[in-house]
Amino acid sequence: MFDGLLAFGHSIARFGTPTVIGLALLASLVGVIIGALPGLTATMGLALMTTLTLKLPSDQALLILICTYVGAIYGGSRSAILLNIPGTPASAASCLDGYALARQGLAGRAMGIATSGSVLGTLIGMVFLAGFTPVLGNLALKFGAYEFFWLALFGVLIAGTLTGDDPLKGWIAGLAGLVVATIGQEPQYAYERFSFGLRDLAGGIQLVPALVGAFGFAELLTAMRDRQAPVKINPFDTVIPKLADVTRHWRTILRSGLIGTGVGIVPGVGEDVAAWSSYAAAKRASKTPEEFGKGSIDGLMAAETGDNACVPGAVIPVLTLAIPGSAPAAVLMAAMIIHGVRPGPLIMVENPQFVYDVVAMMLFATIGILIYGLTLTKLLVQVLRVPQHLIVPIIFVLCTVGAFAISGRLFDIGVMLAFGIGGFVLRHFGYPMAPLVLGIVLGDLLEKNLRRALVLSDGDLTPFFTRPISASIAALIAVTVAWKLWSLLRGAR
Amino acid sequence: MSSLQVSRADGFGGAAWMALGLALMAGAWRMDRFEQMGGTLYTAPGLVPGLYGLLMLVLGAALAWRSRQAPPATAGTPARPPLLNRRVLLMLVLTLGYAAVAVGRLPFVPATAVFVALFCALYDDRKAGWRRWGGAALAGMLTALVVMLVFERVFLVRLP
Repeated sequence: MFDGLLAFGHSIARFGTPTVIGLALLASLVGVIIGALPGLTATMGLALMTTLTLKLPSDQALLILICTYVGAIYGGSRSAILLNIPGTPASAASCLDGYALARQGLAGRAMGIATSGSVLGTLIGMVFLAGFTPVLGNLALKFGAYEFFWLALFGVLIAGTLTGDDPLKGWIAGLAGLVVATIGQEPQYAYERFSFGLRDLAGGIQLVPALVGAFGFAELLTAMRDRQAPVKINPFDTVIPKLADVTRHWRTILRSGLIGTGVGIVPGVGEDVAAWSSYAAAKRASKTPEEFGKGSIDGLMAAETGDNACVPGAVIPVLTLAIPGSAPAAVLMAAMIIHGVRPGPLIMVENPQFVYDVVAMMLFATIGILIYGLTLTKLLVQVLRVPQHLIVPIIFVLCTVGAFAISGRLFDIGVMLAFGIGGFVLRHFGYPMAPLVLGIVLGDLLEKNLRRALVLSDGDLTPFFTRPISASIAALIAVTVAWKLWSLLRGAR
Repeated sequence: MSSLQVSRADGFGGAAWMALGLALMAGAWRMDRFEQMGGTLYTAPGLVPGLYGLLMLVLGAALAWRSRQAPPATAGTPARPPLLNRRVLLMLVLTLGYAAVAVGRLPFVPATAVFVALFCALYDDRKAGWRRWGGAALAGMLTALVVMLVFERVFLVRLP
């Protein structure tokens, strides 16, 4: 406990320089703007910022990425409240009561509630990130190939189940991601698979260009398909949060913080599910559930606390298991690897200070969103008025440069374009993108551990189902699949 | 897109996934098994892609089967926008022309300036005449210069 506090204090002291604080504030602002602009998501923002920060020292680069992540999830609430358009999928639940409050002339109060909920949610998540990561890290040391295989499969499966409207299409998207991960040299014999003699494909598909395509270019195509509706922003009152809004709803804040963090820890689920779960729980617990959707402060507080608490939660499995808790966390994990950090069970053995560095970075990001939440409302309103035809080509230029920057290959621009067009088509037909990304990220882990486990057991499948942790995850997967298959069959009848 | 169109699209989608699954299984079967190096079934490079192919075949079949069970379209079913329209096609021409053709072959700054200017001018239907083209040219030049400065000079990232 005291060791943890000491390490956290050390991280704060190390990051407390004017340069680092300046970078944190700038990155939080970039994140808030990315989140506020409909069509630009946290995943896309993180992928673009990863390429921009390639040459920075690793601690500064990761600070920028974490601040962008926290800022983007918070920023989505601005357009949800002012325009009734969620800036990111995580803010969809905030539209219901945030926009209803705005229509009653209480947009400022709604933004104040969103700010206080987001700040407190991130703080609750941070406490768990600091306290739970060492515990889970020690537990993860007991994991073997069997457990990691199941965990990777669980991540892809649960992302497919929960992130779209149709689990079957979610599973197919996840499987497509796993297939993409098999392209290039396989881990054991360096045998080239599905490279069709192309030298550029022999190294496999790089994650960042694929992500920039699937989340960047595809989103731009979707956004441009429809003519932009004229922006009509409701007038707003003061954005300073009322203390009474916080004290009166402390139960909702605590509950949503716990739910958000918990959802974040589950591999592959993400902030949107955290927001909706927190919202649903708040509605169930409320004495006035009929007010939900009509401007309920409780509802808005729950959604905003839940989605921001999910951010530190989603980083916990990244650090301890090298399995991302959400799509943006998958990009963050890729960036950590690019910058020489090795997330996974050994992190508490090899680099325990890094965990507290991440907590400190989250704290700087939280301060950033608090400052911008209280001061920058008018600027953000102006940002929302920037026309689509100006933003889209600029973002596309960043996508192109970002795809190229990772390895300096024109081939990666082609990967970005292919994933963008493919993602646009798949999205149109109802296939979610998050499982696809999780599949690409977890494909290597899944394959390595499946083959390792099979070699260890000489093809005997029993250890997959008899080791306690392995059996628990397998049972969870079986229940999830059975439940969803039953729903699908019932729906088809 | 009506529910009938969705089910038809899912039927085609299911068939496409099944074809991909079969192709994956065939590709996996033809991969080297490294038996001369003591390789077994569990170390074969084709094992995992083959399993994925099988799963893809099953899931594709499930999607195709479900599309046949879908109820017929009812009046009042909300229609989805079409996959492609004039705006998307124009964007595809502009973006592919820029990223797949111009970048890497032409200097970055002029290529980017022309792309952004063309994009702004063609999609901006609020202004007309020289104001539209003048504003678009300014936006193009500024974007190209700022991106070049930020990436190359501030963050030391090489541009294409």
